[in-house]
Amino acid sequence: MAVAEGAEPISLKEAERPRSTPIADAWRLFRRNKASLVALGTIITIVFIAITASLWTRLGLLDARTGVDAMHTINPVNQAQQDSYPDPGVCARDNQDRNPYWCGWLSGDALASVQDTYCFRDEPVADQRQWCYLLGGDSQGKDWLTQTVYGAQVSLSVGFLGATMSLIVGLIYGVTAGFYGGRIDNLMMRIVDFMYGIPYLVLVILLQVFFTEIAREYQDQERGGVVGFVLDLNKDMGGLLFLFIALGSLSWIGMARLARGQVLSYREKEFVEAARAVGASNRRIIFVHLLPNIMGPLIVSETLAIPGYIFTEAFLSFIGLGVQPGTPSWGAMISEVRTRGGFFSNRHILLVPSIALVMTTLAFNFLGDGLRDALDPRLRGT
Amino acid sequence: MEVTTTERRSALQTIIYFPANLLRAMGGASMIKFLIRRILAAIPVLLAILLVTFTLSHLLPGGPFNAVGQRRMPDYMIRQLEEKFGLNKPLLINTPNDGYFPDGDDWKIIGYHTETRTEGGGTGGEVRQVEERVLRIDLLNSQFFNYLWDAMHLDFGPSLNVALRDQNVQVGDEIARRLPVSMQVGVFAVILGFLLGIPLGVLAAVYHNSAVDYVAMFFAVMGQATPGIVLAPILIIIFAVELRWVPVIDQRGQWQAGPELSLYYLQILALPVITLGVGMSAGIARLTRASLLQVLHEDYVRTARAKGLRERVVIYVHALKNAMIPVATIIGPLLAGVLTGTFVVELIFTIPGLGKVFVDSVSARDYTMIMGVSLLYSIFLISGNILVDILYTWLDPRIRFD
Amino acid sequence: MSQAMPSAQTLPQRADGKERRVLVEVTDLKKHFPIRSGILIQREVAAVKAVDGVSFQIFQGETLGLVGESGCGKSTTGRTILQLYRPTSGSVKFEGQEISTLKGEELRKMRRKMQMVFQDPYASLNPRMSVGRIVAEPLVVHNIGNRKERDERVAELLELVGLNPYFVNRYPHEFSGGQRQRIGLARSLALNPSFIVADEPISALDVSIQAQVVNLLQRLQNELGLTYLFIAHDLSMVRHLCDRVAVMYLGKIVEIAESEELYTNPLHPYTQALLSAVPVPDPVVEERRQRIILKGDVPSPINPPKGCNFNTRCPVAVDVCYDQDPELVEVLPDHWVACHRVI
Repeated sequence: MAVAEGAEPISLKEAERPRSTPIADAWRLFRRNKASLVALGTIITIVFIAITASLWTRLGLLDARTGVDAMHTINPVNQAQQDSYPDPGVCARDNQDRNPYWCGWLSGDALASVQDTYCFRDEPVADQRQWCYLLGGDSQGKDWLTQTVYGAQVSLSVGFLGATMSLIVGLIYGVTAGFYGGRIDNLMMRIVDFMYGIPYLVLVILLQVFFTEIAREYQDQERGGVVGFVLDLNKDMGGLLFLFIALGSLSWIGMARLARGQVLSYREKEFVEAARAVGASNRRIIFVHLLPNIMGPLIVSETLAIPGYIFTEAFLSFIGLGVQPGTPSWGAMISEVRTRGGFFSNRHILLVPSIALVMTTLAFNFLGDGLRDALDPRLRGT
Repeated sequence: MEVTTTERRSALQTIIYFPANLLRAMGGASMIKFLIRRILAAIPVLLAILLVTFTLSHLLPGGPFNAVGQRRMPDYMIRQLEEKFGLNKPLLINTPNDGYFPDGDDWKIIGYHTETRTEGGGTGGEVRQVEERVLRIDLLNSQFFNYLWDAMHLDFGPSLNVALRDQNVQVGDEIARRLPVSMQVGVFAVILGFLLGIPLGVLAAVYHNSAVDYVAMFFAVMGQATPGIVLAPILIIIFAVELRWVPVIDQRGQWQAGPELSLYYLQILALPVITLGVGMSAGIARLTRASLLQVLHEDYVRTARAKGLRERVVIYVHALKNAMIPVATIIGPLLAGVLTGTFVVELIFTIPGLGKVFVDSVSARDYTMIMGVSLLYSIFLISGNILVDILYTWLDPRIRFD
Repeated sequence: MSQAMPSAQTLPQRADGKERRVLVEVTDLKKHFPIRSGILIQREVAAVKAVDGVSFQIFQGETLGLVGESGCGKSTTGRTILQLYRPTSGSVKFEGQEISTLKGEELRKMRRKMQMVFQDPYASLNPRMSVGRIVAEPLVVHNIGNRKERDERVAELLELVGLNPYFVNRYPHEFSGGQRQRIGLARSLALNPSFIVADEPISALDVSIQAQVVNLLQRLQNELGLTYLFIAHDLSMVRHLCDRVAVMYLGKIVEIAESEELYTNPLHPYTQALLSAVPVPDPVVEERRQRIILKGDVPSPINPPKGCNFNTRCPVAVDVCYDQDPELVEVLPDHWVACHRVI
């Protein structure tokens, strides 16, 4: 069949033409925003450092994450130290005698009889490690650089997992309500309206107190079944699991509203009708036609919400309701400032975790702005 | 001279007639219908929130009389106290099997009970014991429904916190005492947020893509990325510890005394308000800038320019008025967020406001206080949400109530 | 309120005696959209009577034009025939089979035979899909052919509508309105349908492009033996393209006739007013053209007037028009009018 009326002549350069797929276009737009490129690089770096943190510890570049190994009794080497806070740059010799010297003499039954009271199994006797505090340390001799790096694990996982969870739950909820409409939509949106009336921090604090008390109550008990599994998992995650549940309890409702609004705006579009007219199933319409179109604004909004999750975790840890005590977290580190001497000297106690926190949230803000330029054409230029 | 007085009077009139004008501008009857509908819809929400907080707070291990960190009491004393505060009753529903039986009567879903009541005893009157037949629903003779019944009569019960219950402090009174403290911080922070945010946003938009824009937006982005727990200690170190301009904490009870025009009040107010206000101003500045930039590209602004109006008139008379629409609507969430926002600041600056009370009440298992404060926060939140809808409709005539 | 139905026995014979086979038969079709209200429990308080008792037939191989003001229910009629909206009542028969009660797999099978071309070429193509995927979608949905066969079919279809098959990997935003409409047409032809509802396919296009698309529609009709329901408000284009024309007003059909007959001898006062608005390319005739300006607005379809729907604006309304709903009757051979004043 001949090329019919009105057709364009085939361009010779058709093959060389730059591909203009939606993803390529979005990347081109994103690249134009230099600040968000830098932010993306920063986030990738922080994520990389956080993921590989235990490797650095094993290499001896970072101190231990938590526990007795992370603490050092300070025996000043380079400088006459007035208080017990190691200043940045100070090197200290760790002279903590963990096991009494006579433990080395014992063996067999004699050792077993005093095990767990005086002599601890896996610990070397009085190792005299030298540790240099690049960014200072706290009154327990914890290395602030190490704590900051491990604190990034908490902040980033709270940010990413909080965002992912709220995106998934909100998306499922909002798309269901918007797509099926009618009474289902009405009922589901009443529930959302109800949840909008719950003060976020009040619920989060109540849940966190509840969770920490439960965790404390069953600290030493063996529990079977699902409850025991969840409690163990939470313990292994340093209290993060319950924190996710508390933070996620309400954060999805905004996303559900946004997702529903997006679905409503696309549901009546003619291309969806066209898909219906050829007999496409609801599943196909949702996954092939609706989701790819509505994801952009949702991802943007979720990226911009990440700093909020990080702030809330930091605040909860600051007031002692966040991660389990001992787990490194920026909020808990900042709260050290309120302990003896924090406000009056040893500014690194405050500054190191603060800079890390601000840098991370700044990066997510810029990343969100860049993504908005790239993915959300409605808001371009604002 | 004449002109100024007229203007002043009209300004006064604007304020006096504001409610009526607001109502008319918002579509009168339909607005009232909308308001009534929203308030009616809020009632089940508040009930559900009470139920949730009630359940959650009673799920917390321990109780008000044996919470962690308190002196242990003998069991009989705990039982006595529980009876006194009605905590021996069933939690949600009083069923006949495990239920709470009124003195000497049978359990009835609904029926008459004989109750003894003390009467008289006033000035010179004699004290009498009066027996009375009272209609009661036993099914609802539980802690939750008794609380609900009292709360509907605006009686939020006595505080169960060990420090307060001995003095028989009522939750309502305690909240009434603490709320103004929180409000001081919140309201001044919102004012600061607007005073700082709007000029910054306008400057950034007017000098779009210039150094002014970049500096303003850098400030805004930094403000958004810096949480209270970072900003507050930094401010304390600079202004309280190093410069010694302000005290670290209030030692004169000024928060409870309330606002007054004194240097000391300003001193203790400054840091909390700045901490909270800077974050708000950052959001307001970005919103103002975006909104104004959008408006400046609209046709009617181009028309105003084409008419030969001065640029200043174009921006401040024609554009800014419309650009303020989305900015004004932020006041709803801001006001709703004022209380939860002050939460953070109160705990950092140890301000004796509601946030502090709430955290204390949770750890003391002060059930009545937990529910009272949660209810108040919810009412604020819901009113804020309603306010947003009303403001939208008022400012943008294209949106109608339906 | 049922209108007199041109029954299947009386009409297969055309006025000129040629055999006609009924492809689509619509009987007393109604589509009401409920309006719900309430705080907690939503109840139906009213209904928008978008289509309120419409009956007509479409014959094999013809083009039926459906004209009327915007909001009169012509698009809803088209969509209800295709079962994109499920009718409130009434019947739609396709090749003699009732389709308004079909569900699931049976309905899906039926959809292969009837397709739609949409008005807005910018909204009718999914911006996230390449042209190849868009045109192949009907084949994928009905599980026709393997990947290679589908690619071949897509290329064939693109060529059929006058597009370069090289375009398969491009995305809709890279095309002009006319090209997009061709893509939409290729998609609707993918399943070899026999009936196409064209919902104002040219009204969103530049005038210079409109003729191209109309010519393409005509060529495809000749080559593939298609039957069209052509929904439009551009009366001159309808006259050029359509064999018969139905005029709708406020959810009802007021007049159906052969195209030439309707344009030369409009009987319903509404049709007359509508046609008087069309400029005539002959300056002498144009000079004498009398415009009938209708007073007032179209009443709300939530609350249509009692009696004849048109009585609020009709220049010749009499008492009976405010009381009784006129039925659609055949006043001339093949010329049906619903008006008390015409009989």
